[in-house]
Amino acid sequence: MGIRHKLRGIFSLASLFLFAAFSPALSQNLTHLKVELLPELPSIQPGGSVTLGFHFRIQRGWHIYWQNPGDSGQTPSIQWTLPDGFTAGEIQWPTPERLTSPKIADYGYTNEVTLLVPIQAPATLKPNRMVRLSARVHWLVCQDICIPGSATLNLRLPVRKKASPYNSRHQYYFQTSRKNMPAPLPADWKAQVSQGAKDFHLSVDTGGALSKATTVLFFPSHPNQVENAATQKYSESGSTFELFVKKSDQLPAAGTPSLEGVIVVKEKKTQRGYWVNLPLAGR
Amino acid sequence: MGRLMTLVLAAILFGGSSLAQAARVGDPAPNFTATDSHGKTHKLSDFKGKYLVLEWHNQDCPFVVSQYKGKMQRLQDKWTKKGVEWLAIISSAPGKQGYVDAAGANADVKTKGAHVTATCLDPEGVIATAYGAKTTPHMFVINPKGALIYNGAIDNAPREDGDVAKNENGEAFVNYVDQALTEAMVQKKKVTIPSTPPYGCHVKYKD
Repeated sequence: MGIRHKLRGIFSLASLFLFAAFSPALSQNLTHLKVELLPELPSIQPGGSVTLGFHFRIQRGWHIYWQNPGDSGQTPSIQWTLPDGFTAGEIQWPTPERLTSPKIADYGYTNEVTLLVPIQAPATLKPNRMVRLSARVHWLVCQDICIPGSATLNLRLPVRKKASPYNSRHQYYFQTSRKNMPAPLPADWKAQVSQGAKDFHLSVDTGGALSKATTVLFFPSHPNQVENAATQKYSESGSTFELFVKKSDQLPAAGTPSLEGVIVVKEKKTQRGYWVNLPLAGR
Repeated sequence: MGRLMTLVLAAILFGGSSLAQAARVGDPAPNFTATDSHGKTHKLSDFKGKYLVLEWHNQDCPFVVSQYKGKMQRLQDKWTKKGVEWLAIISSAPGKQGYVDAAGANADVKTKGAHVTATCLDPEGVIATAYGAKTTPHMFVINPKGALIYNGAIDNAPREDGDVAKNENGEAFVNYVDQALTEAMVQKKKVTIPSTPPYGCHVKYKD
């Protein structure tokens, strides 16, 4: 093989790197999970935004935590190092699972989950160059025992004038994550919350859409609001379902002005989370 | 309607069997009888007239390991020298992480150089249940009258191993136990932060 062939080989490799958008950043040698940083689109535009996904693959039997970890554990955190003018948005959390051990309930994820973060680029950004987005991620992965972990994930993304569509195996992660994001309460549902001395009483009128519901659970978005491990008492009557959620013993004496969190409605094999932030009348 | 009311009543009467009678700040601290790693018995009433700290402990929990790189020992040393009583309580069930027998607990105290009044063994989780202990380290401070004045996390920097001026959110570092004891015992005033969400490993209760 002549030198020219070799050169061509190098050139085509180089162009591959230039046009193949990005190199996914995969963590190495971690305990009980793998984490990968992926872009939803193959490039970013001046003044535009792109959603990045932190895809966690978690060893069977282990879990990581939601924005409110519950009774124990620790929520994952991300520290960004971004080029000038770039900003990172808040983490978007898919609906979690309730993870119980004796007298304890935590909120988190098993198997796999993709946390989404929107990244905004400045309008002054020049096209046809690469930008480097770097994230330092910390997490706690637990089974019965817990192990803290961290990784630095670097992503190189090309700047293009125009957005282009993207087909990759990773799209599935983003689609699944978006499908599992808590949605606003449907417009024709009516939710309210009242309180007794020991319980919050959630009441949701679904207009009849919920007859097949098998379980409904409330996930508080803040710690110290509800007694996480207490059984949530569910009942249905006509088109309305009701949930009694025990108050936390650590709830301040002044109470809380509102109850915020996710109502998860599980029907047979499907589940859907709904964000609620309901004002509380005095008791 | 009648059926719904019945369900509602059932929920009120029987709902939630978890940490039902946990310790609430301002109330009298739950009573306990504990056996320490030297076989000595301690009751809450034995500590009347003194400040008492309860520290839920699990020697293998990474959050406890982090505190015992020096921060916890210094805190214990500072306050026990001022006359505060300090009980470490181990509520891990046999076979679970952090469970130790008396000899194991004594070895742990010696290795770490802990400055505790005693280490209590609670493998049945009786004391942990009475207090609603959820994590290690979960901290409680009881005043000389026997009222609970602090319930929660040890500090506001769960991700920091060493000494820091600020936590990862850029807030000034606060050790809540140190602050509660300083305010109540030294400054004779009300504890400004009497309750925080505890963080750490969950208490390894028996199944």
